[in-house]
Amino acid sequence: MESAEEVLEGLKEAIIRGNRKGALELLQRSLELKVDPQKIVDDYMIPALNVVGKRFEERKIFIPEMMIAAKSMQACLDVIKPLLPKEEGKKKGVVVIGTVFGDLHDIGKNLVVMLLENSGFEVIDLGVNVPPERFVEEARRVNAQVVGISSLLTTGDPYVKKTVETLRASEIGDRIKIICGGAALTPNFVYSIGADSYAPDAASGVSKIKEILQIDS
Amino acid sequence: MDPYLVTFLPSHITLKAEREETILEISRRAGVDIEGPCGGRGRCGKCKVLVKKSKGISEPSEEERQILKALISSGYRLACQAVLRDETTISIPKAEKCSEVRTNKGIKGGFPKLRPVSFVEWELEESDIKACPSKEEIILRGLKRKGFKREAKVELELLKGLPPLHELLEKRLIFVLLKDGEILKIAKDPIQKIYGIAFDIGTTTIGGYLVDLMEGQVAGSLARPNAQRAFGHDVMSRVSFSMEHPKGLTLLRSSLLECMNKMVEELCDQIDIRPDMICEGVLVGNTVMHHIFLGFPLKDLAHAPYRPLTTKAIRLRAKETGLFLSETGHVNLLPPKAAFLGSDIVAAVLATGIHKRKEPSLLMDIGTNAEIVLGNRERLLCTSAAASPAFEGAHLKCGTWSMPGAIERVEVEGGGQEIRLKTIGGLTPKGICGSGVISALASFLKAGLISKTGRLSHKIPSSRLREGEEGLEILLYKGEGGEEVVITEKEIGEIMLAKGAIKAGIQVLRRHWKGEEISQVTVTGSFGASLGPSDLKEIGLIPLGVADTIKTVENAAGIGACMALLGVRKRKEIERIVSMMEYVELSQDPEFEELLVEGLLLEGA
Ligand code: B1M
Repeated sequence: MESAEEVLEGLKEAIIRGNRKGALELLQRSLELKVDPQKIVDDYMIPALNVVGKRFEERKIFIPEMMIAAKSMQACLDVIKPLLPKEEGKKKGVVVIGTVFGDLHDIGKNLVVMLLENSGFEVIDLGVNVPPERFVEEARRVNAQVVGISSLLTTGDPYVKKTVETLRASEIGDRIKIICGGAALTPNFVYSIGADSYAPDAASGVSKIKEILQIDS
Repeated sequence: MDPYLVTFLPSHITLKAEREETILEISRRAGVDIEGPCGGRGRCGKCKVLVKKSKGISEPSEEERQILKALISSGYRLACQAVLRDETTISIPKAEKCSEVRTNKGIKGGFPKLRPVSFVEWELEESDIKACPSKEEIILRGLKRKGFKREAKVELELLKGLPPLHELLEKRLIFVLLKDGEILKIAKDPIQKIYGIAFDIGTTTIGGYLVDLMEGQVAGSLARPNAQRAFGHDVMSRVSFSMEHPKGLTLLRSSLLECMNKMVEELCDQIDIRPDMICEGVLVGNTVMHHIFLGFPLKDLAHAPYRPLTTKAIRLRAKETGLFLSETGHVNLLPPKAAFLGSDIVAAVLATGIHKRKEPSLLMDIGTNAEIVLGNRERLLCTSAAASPAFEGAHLKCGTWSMPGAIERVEVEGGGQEIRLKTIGGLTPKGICGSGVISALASFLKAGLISKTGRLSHKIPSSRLREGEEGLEILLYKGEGGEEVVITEKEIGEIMLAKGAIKAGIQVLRRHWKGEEISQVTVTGSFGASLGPSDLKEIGLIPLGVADTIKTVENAAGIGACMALLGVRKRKEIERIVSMMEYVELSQDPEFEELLVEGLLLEGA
């Protein structure tokens, strides 16, 4: 019989390779071997997804493999989350995120959410079609440091602009950091409307957020 | 600021500019053709130009630096980004010009025999005049006498062109043409020929069909690039353009009409007739094109909840729309179903007749968006799935439109040792178009040179497989002058994503359908029809278990439009189809994402 270490390494590899069935089996086996669920998540699952994000950023893997890996991760998270002790610990920061008003795309944004949570951020996901005022209200309510806006449609530009303007004009305007991403946006546009950062993909979204919050790792 | 001159080479067109403007904006005013696929956002790099000399030009933007890299130091700029403020000379690289797109020949495809119009000869009688107080009623009474029981209607416009009654009495001859009780033309001399015209207005290409109404036959056909391409390649960039520029909609509309009127003339020249012999028109197209033609604002097509202004059929005097047909001619805009399901897919349903079959069929128009209909004579489900501009060759490193010189077929032999390429027109390869990429994927898969997750295998000979700027890539062609055509793993990923979205759309419809399995698949649209049915199976676009035979029809929408040209009855049938169609919204579907991830894989599952 293989050691717990082997099973766990296998689990990590299965998530990276997007082998959902394999990952779920190995997760089950690690649980049967009485490995601490927190350890499974912290030392194997999270690093697995980080590898995926990094490989994507480095153009070693592309959208399909990233999405498939994210799905295996999600499937494992669904199993293991109920077993984790209630969260306490200090979060790296609070991020409010959503897809811009008028836009219903959320697959890319969901990936960003997953990677952010993976990296220790608390994420409040407002879903899709989010009006500018909701970003402000929620960011204020949860005392967020960062607002993330996702936009996939060319026609969303005016609303991205309006959202940034509304945030800036609000009472949290001078302290909130704003990051925008999604296939419709260009860095030029994002900076010209007064956002703090632009991210071309999910992994760089996380590193950019760390950058603007001046978090080291 | 002082006015300044801008010269475009090689055409030597010079234009005065009076304020700070981008090269692209000035070129549009000058009528110089620069491609603008992404709508001037600095994303695609296709509007690259060489600035020969300039006394005032903006610094390169971050977008330009990213896209052009080293080319910047040789003077290259993106026309959509570079802002001029003083005298400048610009050279436009000889690129894919709009007019080169593979549209010069007529349109292929069989046409069903259409029902010709009927013909009535009528003599004016004194008794008609005595019995009726107006010219209108005199004509109608005459028709009744001829046996037209149904309430006929006559457009007053038609009567305006007639000679006065006293002359008619002398001549005693009027010819009336009717179809389904509709009067198309009244004349005092025998009518030799009468024509109708059908348009299928696509975002990329416009198809035009001249129909001989007396014979019930297509007499000529033509495809031309949609001139609006200068304002953005996909519909959304055009919608944005209409909202961001004060005259955006007017510009889009006049560019469309200019294009269509030119096509009317070209079609007439083909068979040597005059535009005023065309008395009826039918227009189909995606809903954005429909709105632009009618001058409807596009704001409701720009954001959720996406609702077209109307989904009713519209009949207008041609001359009110700016389309030059006969003075008394009319155009009919067939009804769209939804913001992203235009009258084109509705017309395609009419043409393929899937709404009359007992067994369920799947009909898809594949392009940058895919319109999908699944159903039979009892029920039609439909949806629209976003795909990718990559399907039309845009945004691919070596991508081109399907124009002469574009690689459209790729065959692999000897484990990748030999790659055989087929280009449009048999020319030396200039790039690869969407169908070429799909064909390449299918062949690599068959040869075991690519994994189902889209990864290129190291079994590919090292002379072809290499590390490029964007990751791993495969070299398809290297010319004597060093010009190369490659496909990158990143691009393969993008194509897979688009394919996954379409497949997920099909799967969602199948889940809603629940009934008997699909027994017939028809793929249409100029991109869709250029794909090999076996390639579609190989890459797994069509789910397993669905009909084995895949039929491609190049221009189902155009055929449907021609059918609608020949009678009120067909136009009523179209309205019935629209009301039968049930729209299934994908963005609200909880299973979509899961299905998309499953659907990405390059496998026939
Ligand atoms: C806050 O910080 C950050 C940081 C990084 C961020 C970020 C935020 N957000 C994203 N990122 C970044 O990280 C992610 C991972 O690296 C990346 O996210 P992406 O989202 O880019 O990548 C995802 C992982 C995978 N990508 C995707 O999920 C998008 C794929 C494509 C095919 C696509 C899909 C799947 C869909 N669509 Co839509 N759709 C397309 C897309 C075409 C394409 N090839 O990209 C696009 C975006 N769609 C388009 C259109 C037109 C539409 N779509 C529509 C609908 C849909 C579906 C419902 C079918 C589905 C969405 C399902 C869903 N729940 O999200 C319609 C509108 C719905 C609406 N109101 O939003 C509709 C309007 C039309 C239609 N046919 O129905 C096009 C937009 C064109 C334009 N110029 O604006 C489009 C490019 C396809 C095309 N035709 O060319 C980065 O951008």
